[in-house]
Amino acid sequence: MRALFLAVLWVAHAAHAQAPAPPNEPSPQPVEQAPVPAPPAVDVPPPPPLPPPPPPAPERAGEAVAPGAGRVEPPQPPDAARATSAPEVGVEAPSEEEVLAPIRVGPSETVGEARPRGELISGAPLENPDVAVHIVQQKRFADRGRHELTLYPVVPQVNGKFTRHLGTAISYQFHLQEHFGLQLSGQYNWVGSESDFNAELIDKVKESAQAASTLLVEWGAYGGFEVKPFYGKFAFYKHHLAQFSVVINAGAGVVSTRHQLVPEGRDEDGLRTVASHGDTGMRFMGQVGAGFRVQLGERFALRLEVRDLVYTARVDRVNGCSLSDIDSVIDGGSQVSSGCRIEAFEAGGHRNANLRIARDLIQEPSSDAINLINFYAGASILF
Amino acid sequence: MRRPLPLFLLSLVLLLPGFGRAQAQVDAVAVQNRLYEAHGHLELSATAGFLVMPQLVRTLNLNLGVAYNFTETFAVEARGGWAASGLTGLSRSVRDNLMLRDPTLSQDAVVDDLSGMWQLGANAALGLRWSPIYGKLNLVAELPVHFNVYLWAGPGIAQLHRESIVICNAVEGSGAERRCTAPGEDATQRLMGSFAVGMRFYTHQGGALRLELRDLVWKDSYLVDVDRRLAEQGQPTGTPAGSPGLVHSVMADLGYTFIF
Repeated sequence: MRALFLAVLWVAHAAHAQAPAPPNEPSPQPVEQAPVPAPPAVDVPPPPPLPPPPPPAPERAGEAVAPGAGRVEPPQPPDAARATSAPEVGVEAPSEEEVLAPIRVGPSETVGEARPRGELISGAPLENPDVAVHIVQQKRFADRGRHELTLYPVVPQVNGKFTRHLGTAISYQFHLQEHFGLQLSGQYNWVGSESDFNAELIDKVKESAQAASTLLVEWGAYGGFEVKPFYGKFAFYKHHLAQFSVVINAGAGVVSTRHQLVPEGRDEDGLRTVASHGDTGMRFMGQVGAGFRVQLGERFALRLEVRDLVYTARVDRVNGCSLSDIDSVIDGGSQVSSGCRIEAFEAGGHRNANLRIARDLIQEPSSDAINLINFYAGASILF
Repeated sequence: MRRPLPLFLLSLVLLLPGFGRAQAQVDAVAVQNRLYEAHGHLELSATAGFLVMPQLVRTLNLNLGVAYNFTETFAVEARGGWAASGLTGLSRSVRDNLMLRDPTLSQDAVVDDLSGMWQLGANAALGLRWSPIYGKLNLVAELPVHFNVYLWAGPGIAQLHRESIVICNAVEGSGAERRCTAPGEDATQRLMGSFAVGMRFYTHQGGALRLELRDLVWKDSYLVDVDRRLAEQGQPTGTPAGSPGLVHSVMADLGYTFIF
């Protein structure tokens, strides 16, 4: 019996070593086209207690290996065809065909027990009416309770009609649950200017978007939550498998805004001059976004997201100075309201031009709801 | 009592690797062996696309396509479309404001025309589609959705029409009532490039929902140094811009593919 048992184990090991997944292997039967009922795990009666282990019982110690998760097959009734050379133990022994046939073990089966009736297809007991096989069964990497830090090195604006932004963002997520987490994000735009289209309108037909529509974001910080409602897998050219999830996030925070005054250009000597900007204050901001998160191993992930930063835009002060403050300074006066930072208009050496442009911006107050849509591609580390 | 522990450990040693391989086998087979195979299938697609970010021109493009999958990942597709295009509200506003400035009074008498004003009409393209990624998405517990991701590229030809907002061949009214009744127009055919990235979500063996982002690219052209006074008299004016650049019409397409 011991030798027979060892032979069974050796055959099982050899079968696993040779188990291929050939490219031309026929597709598994479309389980989703013939759904089987969900395993009634709660209603399945517990298996009847095994008879007291007789002396030869240790040879069947494989049955003591962890019972298969989700195993719902009722115990097999005694069957004369399955009688073996060890009737004295009171437990059915496998038939010769079952011993010699290659064994395929799926995640829901128990090693060493008699295989369920019905053919195993790609390791799954698809013929068993009490088992529902989900093609996307098991999530390999759990997120619950983990921290995730993401760096988005380059964040370009994708809806740049009147403005153009390019920045860097960083984000922290704490995965409270498998599908829900909290997030904190920050972003700094190291490029923020009016778009070439707006510049062309100004240059050719002396038209420009309203001041509120060309408001620029210098930096933003927001917090909120993230949900991962959908999970999936994909293969690249059949050889590389990856798990991914669809992420949807939302939050609220603040952004620091500014407006372009003198655009970049060239001075009398032909030297390039940088654009000058005027601070237009902080704004409350809301954020919504969606994307994909591809997990690469236990600790790393890639994220591709599109996020919309929504904020109200109203230009009525530049560098803290109102229209009357700027008029007073242009007229040679020095009396300005508290909070007005006249020295900020010295930027780029274009004091007078900055003042004139700022006055034009404020003279006709404008407001708008701005949607700053950015594309985020980043890498995460989980710990 | 015989010693069960060594046999127990031996059984673990021999069989536990099999658990890992079996799990990997189930994982790999679950995705690698595609439920929806494309090789050798003919496809017919219908899509509608709109400009993602219209500036001076708006476009709605309706397309029909025929594709043949000569391998599992490569297919050749021919697309034909008709686009309904026109000026945006911004364009009309710019033109109306410009008309209020009378060139006969030396108010912006010589201007350059704006770029990116060509409007798409009938169009056709022939391209190669590469679908290296195939996967499943678990929408709800019992509903996995199969999808693939593809890239598309190919040349084509486009019928283009241009309506200028700075060149006006006939004017009515004066002062604040001044308006253009015959804007300068032009039409041409141009070679274009068509590039797309998209996803197909299979609904059944015979069809899939199709979402893609497509960029139609053609060479731009417009006039500079346009004398509005000559234009309003119906006389030719202006010179072609030296480096007009390219027009990128980025469209979001939504459609359905019938698979035969």
